[in-house]
Amino acid sequence: MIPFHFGSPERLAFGLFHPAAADSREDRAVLLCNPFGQEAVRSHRLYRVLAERLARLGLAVLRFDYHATGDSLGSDEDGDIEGWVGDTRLALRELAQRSGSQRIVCLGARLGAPIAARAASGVPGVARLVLWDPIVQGADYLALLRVKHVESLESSYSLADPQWRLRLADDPQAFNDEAIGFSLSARLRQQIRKLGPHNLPVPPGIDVQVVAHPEDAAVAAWFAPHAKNQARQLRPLAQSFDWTAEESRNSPLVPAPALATIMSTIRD
Amino acid sequence: MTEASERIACFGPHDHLIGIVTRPEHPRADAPACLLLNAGVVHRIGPHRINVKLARALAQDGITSIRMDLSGLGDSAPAAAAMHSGAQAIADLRAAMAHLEATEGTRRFVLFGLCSGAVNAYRLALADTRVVGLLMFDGYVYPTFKTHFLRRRARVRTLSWRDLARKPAQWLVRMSKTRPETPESAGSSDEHLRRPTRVQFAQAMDTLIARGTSVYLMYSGSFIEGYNYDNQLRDRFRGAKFLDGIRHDYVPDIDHTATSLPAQRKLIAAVRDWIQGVAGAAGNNGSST
Repeated sequence: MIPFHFGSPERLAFGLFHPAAADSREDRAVLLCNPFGQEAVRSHRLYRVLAERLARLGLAVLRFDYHATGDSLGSDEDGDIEGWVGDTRLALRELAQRSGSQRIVCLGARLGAPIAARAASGVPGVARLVLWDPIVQGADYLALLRVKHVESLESSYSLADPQWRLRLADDPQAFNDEAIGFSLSARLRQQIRKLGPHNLPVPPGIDVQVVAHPEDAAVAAWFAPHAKNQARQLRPLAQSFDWTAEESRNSPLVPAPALATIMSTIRD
Repeated sequence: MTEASERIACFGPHDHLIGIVTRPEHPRADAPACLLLNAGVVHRIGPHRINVKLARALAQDGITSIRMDLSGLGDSAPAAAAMHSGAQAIADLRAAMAHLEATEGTRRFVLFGLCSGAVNAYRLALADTRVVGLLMFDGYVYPTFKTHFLRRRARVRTLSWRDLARKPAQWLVRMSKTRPETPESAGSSDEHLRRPTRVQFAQAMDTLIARGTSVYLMYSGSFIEGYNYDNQLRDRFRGAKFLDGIRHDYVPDIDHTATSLPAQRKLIAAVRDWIQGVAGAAGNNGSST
């Protein structure tokens, strides 16, 4: 595992490169795109395990933090989707250079899915997109984050303030500017709200594999018109991942069914 | 970032540990460096990225810091030799200190530990005289009778009349029971996580104070069972000498992982204020870094 910085000085990003095992005959490399906020903290361990296993199987892997997230430069408030798409394109180039691979598999989970899909569009070398529990309705995602934020407060404080629930129900402006410990700027909220099936690209010429809960109707409805052949499949994963949980919750950080499904979806 | 720069540090006997050093543009000459420890299983950025936010805020005050992953946590590799987790944590943190001494010339350190990080910080502070400041956020707690009373009273206040009317007998029985005291050294089979007895804790505080180490104990609003009123520590250790030599605060509006942005701002401000005080005291004593 090789940690490094990349990008311009004012937008320096943190990356971790996992070289492929020495005897690898694989010509593919894998870019892992993070979800947003607490979901990224929550999935850090899973991404590490995934990267290490893929590297042992011969695929070089790059993990990285978007601007204003994780160890990359920038404050929470500086994060925005367009910038993160640019960061992802830069990471794709870094991975191609470091691995020497001609074919990249790009995994995006949750909000990382639309970011990965946009970043991969028109970029030569991206052979496959794996979109895991993708956010296809931005407005629904913002609503979910509000609820989860209040749930986090209620579970973290010994004495929950009843006003939190009332404000959540009665005041649409309440709890909009933060989500489970992370700032949500007005610009980022607006960008997320605009996300919808109409502008979540399924780039031509790229395999697109979607992994989602079998009852996720929004994902099924978005992907149905595209899932017409082997290169465009919707793979059900009932036992997925507790994306927004705090670390103290007793849900697995690296659930075996999810890890196995994502590994096989990347490699098949 | 204009005020600080960040660099990646790989250190330890096998370079298996990963950390990020945040260095101010103008480091304060008399200041110790700050070690930001893992909290539970969260990687070095800390819960809700609090270690990153804190590191960059400290840089504005001229304080260098390192946020790092202990062996096997975050992005650090497991240690090559099998060692008890507590001893390994101390060895890892000492490796970070050695790295900062070699690269930044820093010979004195302050520690910020939250939850399990507070336990590791406590043990390192006792083991290493280079530690001049220890901040334990939600570290060891020693409840009093009043703690239990206030906890029950607070719980009852959250009940509606309907709740109370539904099973009054059950509630009366529950309220009349005194919660059995957990032996202070019980609770975990892991020596590392076991809470020191009151005597041990008081002796530890005396040791640190005698050495000139600043100690700040902060207790959040997340453990009503363990700490739930101002000066609980003073009540539980009534008459102990160390009480006048340390700072301790109950901060019920900050939760265990600083979930809300106002809670984060308040926590960061408190840590900055305390570290500036430690740095200032060290400077007045004429100590060198």
